[in-house]
Amino acid sequence: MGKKIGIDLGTTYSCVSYIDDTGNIAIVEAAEGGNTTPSVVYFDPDTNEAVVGSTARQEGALHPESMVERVKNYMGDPYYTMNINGNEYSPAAISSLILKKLITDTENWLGGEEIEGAIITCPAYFGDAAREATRVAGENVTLSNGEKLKVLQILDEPVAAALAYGNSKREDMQKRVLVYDLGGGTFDVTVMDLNFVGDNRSMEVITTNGNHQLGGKDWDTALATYVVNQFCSATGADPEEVMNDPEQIQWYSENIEKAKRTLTNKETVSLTPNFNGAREKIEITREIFDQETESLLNQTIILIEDMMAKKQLTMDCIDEIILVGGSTRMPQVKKRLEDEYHKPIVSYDPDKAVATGAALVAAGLQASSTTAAPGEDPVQPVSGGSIVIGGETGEQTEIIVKCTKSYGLLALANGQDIIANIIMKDSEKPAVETRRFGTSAENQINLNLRVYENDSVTADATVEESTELYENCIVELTPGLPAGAPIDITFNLDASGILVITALDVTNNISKVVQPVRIGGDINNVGMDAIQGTLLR
Amino acid sequence: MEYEENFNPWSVTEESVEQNNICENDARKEAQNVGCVSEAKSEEVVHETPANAQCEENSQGTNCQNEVMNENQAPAQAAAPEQNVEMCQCEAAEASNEEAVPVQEEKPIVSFDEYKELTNAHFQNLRSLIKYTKTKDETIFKMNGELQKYREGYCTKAFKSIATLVISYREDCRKALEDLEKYDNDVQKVQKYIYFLVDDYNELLSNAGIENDGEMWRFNGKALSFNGRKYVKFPPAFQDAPELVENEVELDGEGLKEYLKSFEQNVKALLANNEMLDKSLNEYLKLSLAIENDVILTGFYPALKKMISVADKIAELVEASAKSVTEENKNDKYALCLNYLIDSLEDVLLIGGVSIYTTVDETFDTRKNRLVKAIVTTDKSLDRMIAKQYTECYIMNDAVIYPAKVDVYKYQEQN
Repeated sequence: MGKKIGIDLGTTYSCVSYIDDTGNIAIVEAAEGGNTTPSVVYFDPDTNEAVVGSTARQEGALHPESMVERVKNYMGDPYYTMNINGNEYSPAAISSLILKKLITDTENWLGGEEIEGAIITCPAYFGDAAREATRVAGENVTLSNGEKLKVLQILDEPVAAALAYGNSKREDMQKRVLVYDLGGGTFDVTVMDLNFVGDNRSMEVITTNGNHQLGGKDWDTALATYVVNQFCSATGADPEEVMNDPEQIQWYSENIEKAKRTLTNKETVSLTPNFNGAREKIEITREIFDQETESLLNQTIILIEDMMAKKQLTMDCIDEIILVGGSTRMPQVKKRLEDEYHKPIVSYDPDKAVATGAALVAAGLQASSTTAAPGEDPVQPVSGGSIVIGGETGEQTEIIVKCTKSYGLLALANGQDIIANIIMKDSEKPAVETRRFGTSAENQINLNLRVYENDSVTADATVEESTELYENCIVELTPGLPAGAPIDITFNLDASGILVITALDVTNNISKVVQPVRIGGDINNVGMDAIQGTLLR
Repeated sequence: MEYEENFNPWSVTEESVEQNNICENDARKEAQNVGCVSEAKSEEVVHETPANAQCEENSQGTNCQNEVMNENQAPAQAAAPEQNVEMCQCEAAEASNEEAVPVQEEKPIVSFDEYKELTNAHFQNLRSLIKYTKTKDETIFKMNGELQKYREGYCTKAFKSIATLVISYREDCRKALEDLEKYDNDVQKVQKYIYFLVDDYNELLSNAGIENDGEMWRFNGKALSFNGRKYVKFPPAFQDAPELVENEVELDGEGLKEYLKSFEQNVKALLANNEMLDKSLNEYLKLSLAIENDVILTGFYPALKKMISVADKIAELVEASAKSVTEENKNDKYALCLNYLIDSLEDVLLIGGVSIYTTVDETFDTRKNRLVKAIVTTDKSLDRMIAKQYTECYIMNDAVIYPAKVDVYKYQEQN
C-alpha cells in the first residue's frame, strides 16, 4: 500500500505533507530546499522544457513572456488560456505541471515509496468549475511508475486548517471558531463548529467567504509605495521613475519584505533607499505601517461582516478566532481582530496548517483503506462521503463539510426567469437532491437543463447573481415517452464539491449520468496533451 | 473440562481480584508519572518519590521501573523479599496469584491458548492505556539522528540569518562607493550619508540580536564574554530501549506461572521504556536549549566578536570623518568609511563560512544570479551572458544565500 499525501496547492506557494510511519506530520522538502515551492512555471523557449519553482522565477525574469504565475486565480474560468511560446495552456494544465513537480519531489523524498493518492486543497469559495479544474489538473499527473495520480478529494483550505488546529488539541472542547486565513495572495474566512467531547469528535463548517485577490503581497505594495513617496519627497526624485527602475524594483522587493518581518518583532525599522546617488533614511513605525495598510485590513473585516450577515450570525456566537497563513504574523491582524471582536485569538503553525490538515485527511483515508471489507473500494472515506482524519494515535474524527455554493436550474416563476436552487449553500456535503420534471410533449427527444451556481442561501436566486455552469446539459430521453412523463433529475454534490447530474426515466426505470458540456468547452484539457510530453527540468 | 463463569486468569479469590484491580490502576498511574501506590501491604506504605523506592530485582535481570528512574543515583539495594516493605504492586499481585492459582499438574483449568489470548488482550489494553507504541522508539532514534545533524550543521544554519543582514548592508556600501564615481553630492549630503553608516550599522546589529545595554554586549539577551571560549556540556547519552521478553509456555501450572511472570516483565519493560522515553525527550529538550545558548556562541563567536569590534571602530571613524569633511576631501572621507566597512564585513562573512563570488563574464545561472533587467542584443554569442553585476554572489556550505543581481543579455533576432 502506497502513501496518501496532502497537497496545499497555493496561489503563490505550494506545499506537500503526509503522516509518517511514526505518526508525525512530515513536510516534504523541495529539491531546491525549503518546505514550499513557488507556484511558478517557466517554459524554455528553445527546448520547451518546463521548470517549476524558484528556478522558474529566475528564468522567467529573463523571459517573462515564458513564465506563468498565480494561475490559481483563473482556475475554472471558462474562457481563460495562456499563450506561452506559441502554445495554448489552460490554468488546469499549468497547475498539472506544478503538481507534477511537487509529486516528483515527494517521490524522491519518500525514497521509492509509491504515492497512492493525494488530497488537494482549494479555497472554500471555489465553485464547481474551479474544483473540477483542480481535479483534472491532479488526475493528469503521471507518477514515476507510469500510473496517473489518484485525486482522493478536493478539500477546502479553511477546513484543512481548522482540522489541523482541532487535531492539535487533545482536550475536550465544544466551540464555534472563526478561521481567518490570510496568505500571500488570497484571503479566506470560515466559521466552524468543533465538537470534541469524550468519544464524540466532529467538526462542521457553518459558512465561508473570501477574496482571492487579497493577500500579503498587497501589504508589501502598500509599504513600498509609502517608502518611495517619502524618499521622493525628501530627494526630489520622480516616484514613477523610481518604481519603474528595474534595479529599484529588486531593491524594494528584497528590503520591503525584510522590513515587514522586522516590524513583526520590533516597533520601528528604518530603510535607506538610494536612487541616482541620492540616499535618504526612511523610518517606518508599526503605526505608520498599520495606517498605510488599514484599508486592506478593513477589506477582511468587511468580508467577515458580510459572511456573518448573510447567515444571520453575530460574533457573539464565536468562541475563538484561529489565525492561519503567514501574513497573519503581522501584529496588526491580531490587534484589529481583538479590538473589533474581543475574542481569544489563537494561531496554529500559520504556514503549514493547510498542508497539515490535508495530510490528516489523507491519513484518515489511509486508515479507512486498511479496514475496507473485501470488494469495497479502500479509497472511499469511512462515513459515506464525509471526511475522516487519522490522528497520531489512530483515532478518527468525522468532519461534516457544507456546500459553499447553491446549485439550481433555470425556471419560470410569475413570468420571470429565476434560478430554483436545488442544492443549497451550507447544506452538508455530499449533498443529493432530486427534482421531478415532466416531458412537455409526446416523443420528446431530450431535456435541456440550464444549471446555475450562486451564493444565495434562499430557495430562489436571480439569474444576474448566478453563473451558468454548462453550455449544454442535455438529457437524452427514451423514445416513445408520452407528454408529462416523469423524469427525476438528481444533483449530487460530492465531498469535493463537484457536481454530478443523473437523470432517471421513471417510466422505464432507466438512469444515466448526464455528460454536460461546460461553458467554454473542454477548457481544462487545453494544453494538457502538450503538458504530458513536456519534460520537467 | 469445566470453566468458571467470568474466569479471570489473574485471580481466583476475592482478595486477589482486588489486588489485581489495583495492579491495573497503578500501571496506568505509573504511565502518568503519578507514582505507584502500594495498597497491598498497608495503607501507610507509599512510593513517595522514585528516588526512595526500592524494588527487588527480578530474575530476568530487568529492573523494576523505579530503578530505571534512579539510574543517576546509586543502584537500589536488592532487599530480601521478607524485608522489602515497599513492594512493586505487580509483585504483590503475583504473590496473590501464587496463592490463588490452583496447581493442576495434569489438567489446566483453561486451555493454554485461552490463557494466552486473555493475557495478550490484557497486554494490549495496557499498551493502549500507557499510549506507548514501538514506533515511539523509532522516533527517539530519529531524533537522535536529527540531533546529530543539528550539532554538525547548526552553527552554520544559525549564522545564515545574520549573514544575510551583513550582506545586504555590505552591498549597500558597495553601491554607495560606486555612486561616488558617478554622482557629485554637496558636503552636507556627504556628511549626512557618512552618519547614516553608523545608524544603519547599529540597526543591523540590533536586527541580528546583538545589543549593548550600556554595560556589556549581549547576543539575544545573553551576555557575550570575550575573555575566553565557553565550552558546551552535553547531557549523558541515551540508553538503549530494553527488549521485550517472550517465553515459550508449557501446558502445566509451572509453565503458566512462568508465562504470566514474563508477561509482567514485558509490562514492566514497557512502562520502564515509557519512562525512558519521557526522560529522553526531556534530555533532548535540554540539549536543544544548550545548543541555542552555548553552541551558537561557541560556533560563530569569532564572527560576533568581529562585528562588535567593527561597531566600535566605525563609530570612531565616522565621527572623525564627518567632522572634518570638506568640499575637497568629501569623497575621500566617505570612501574611507565605506572601504573599511566593505573589507571588515567581508572578514565577518569569511569567518562565518561565507564565500564571495563574482559572476561577471559568466552565463546567467538561476542559482547564483537574480535578474535585474534583460539587455536586448542581436549578437547571439552574447545570449544569456551577464552584462553587468550589481551585487556579488554569496555562498555558504555550497548553498547560495544571496544571489548576485545582474543584467543579462537577451538575444533577439533583428527585424
